[in-house]
Amino acid sequence: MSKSEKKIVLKSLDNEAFEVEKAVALQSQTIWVMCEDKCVGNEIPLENVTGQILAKVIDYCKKHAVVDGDGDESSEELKNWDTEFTKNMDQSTLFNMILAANYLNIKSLLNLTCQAVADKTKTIDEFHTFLNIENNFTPEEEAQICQENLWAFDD
Amino acid sequence: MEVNDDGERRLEMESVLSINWAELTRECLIDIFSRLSQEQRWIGPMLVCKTWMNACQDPSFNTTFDLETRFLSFPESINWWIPEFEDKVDSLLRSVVDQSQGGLTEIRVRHCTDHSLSYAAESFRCPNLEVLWIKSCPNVTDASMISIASNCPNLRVLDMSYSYGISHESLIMLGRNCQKLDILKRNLYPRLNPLRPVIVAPLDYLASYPKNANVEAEIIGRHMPQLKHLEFRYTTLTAKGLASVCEGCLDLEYMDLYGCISLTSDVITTSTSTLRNLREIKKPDFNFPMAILRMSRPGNPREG
Repeated sequence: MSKSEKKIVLKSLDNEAFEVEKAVALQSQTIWVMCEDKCVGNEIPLENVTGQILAKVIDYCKKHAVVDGDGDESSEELKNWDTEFTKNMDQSTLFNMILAANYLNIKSLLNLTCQAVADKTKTIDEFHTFLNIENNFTPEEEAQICQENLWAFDD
Repeated sequence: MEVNDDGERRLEMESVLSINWAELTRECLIDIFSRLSQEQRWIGPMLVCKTWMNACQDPSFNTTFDLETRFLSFPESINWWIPEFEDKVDSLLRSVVDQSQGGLTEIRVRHCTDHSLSYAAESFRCPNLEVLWIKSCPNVTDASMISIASNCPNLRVLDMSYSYGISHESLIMLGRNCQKLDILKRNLYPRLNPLRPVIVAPLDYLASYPKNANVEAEIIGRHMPQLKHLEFRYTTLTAKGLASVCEGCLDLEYMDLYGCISLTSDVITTSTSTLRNLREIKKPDFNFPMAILRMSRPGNPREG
């Protein structure tokens, strides 16, 4: 158990276990607090995150982990990596990544994923089609809102 | 994946497939929407569904209301001067005031009326207002401006250019109540100048410009000694009015008197000589057409 000092096991909602460096996992404020409180053993159950998502979160954390004596990773390169990371993410992954980043309290990952959604969706049609959200306004409500909504100037 | 997990796994996959963006936590929604401009929120997420509309109405998103940027992105239209358009601006301003829950600090609109401006001013709906731009609002009058003066003591910046329904009465109240006001813009539309730019506004409105600039100047000089920035373009200001301003507002750093054709270069130099902090002054264009205009007036306009 000598390596238990440096390693930690994260267990997903669907019981997938991931052994990671502590430095990697501690980027999550939630996990950090759990470890500080000593309320958990070496294995941390994460009840809100599936294995598929957790794997991606860990990928991200590994990339962003501060490794002593290795400052070669330029911020430019990291930025490019981040862009690639979210670029081809499908809708459900992105959605669940946001929830996971929020639950695990990883600020930079939350920033990254929220910005990705914001960038992709700037008009109402994009929201309805791209994100597949049902418009649940009644026609009356919609008329009322549109009347108050001047941003679309009539020409 | 283990075989006995299969059922559970499939169930979970289904729930992943049927993700509902509408039900992202409010916290996350606000995080995402905070990355959009106010306009983008209004034309996008606001209209998507109720949950999202609700998130967009968070007071944190409504501390400023800037319609000016939107106006600037369109060519000027005569349709902005009709009541139906004013109704829309009013309605939008009222919505933002409601959503701000008292947190609104900046309003930059055009073509609103007393209806929305009084609404904003009354009942402590905007006690923190610091910046108010109400350019080209023919139907904003002293009624709402006096209410603003009484209820928005933190006002620092006021642009009431081209809003001819506002009289000197408002200036008195503003001067008395808004001690922090240091930027005042009271520009008028250009008149008579053959070189004037194209203005899109009703002719009868253009003719109704305020003609008592000296009275206003006297009030500014007496009630707004803290003023640092004054714009008074194309007003009927004469030597007398300018003297009142320069004697009363000793902290003035910037003055714009472009188009004040009743002033002469000498008068401006003499009057402003006491303003130690004056960094920039925009003088009337003393060019050929202006000279013709001055000569064509009966009597000496500088006596007025």
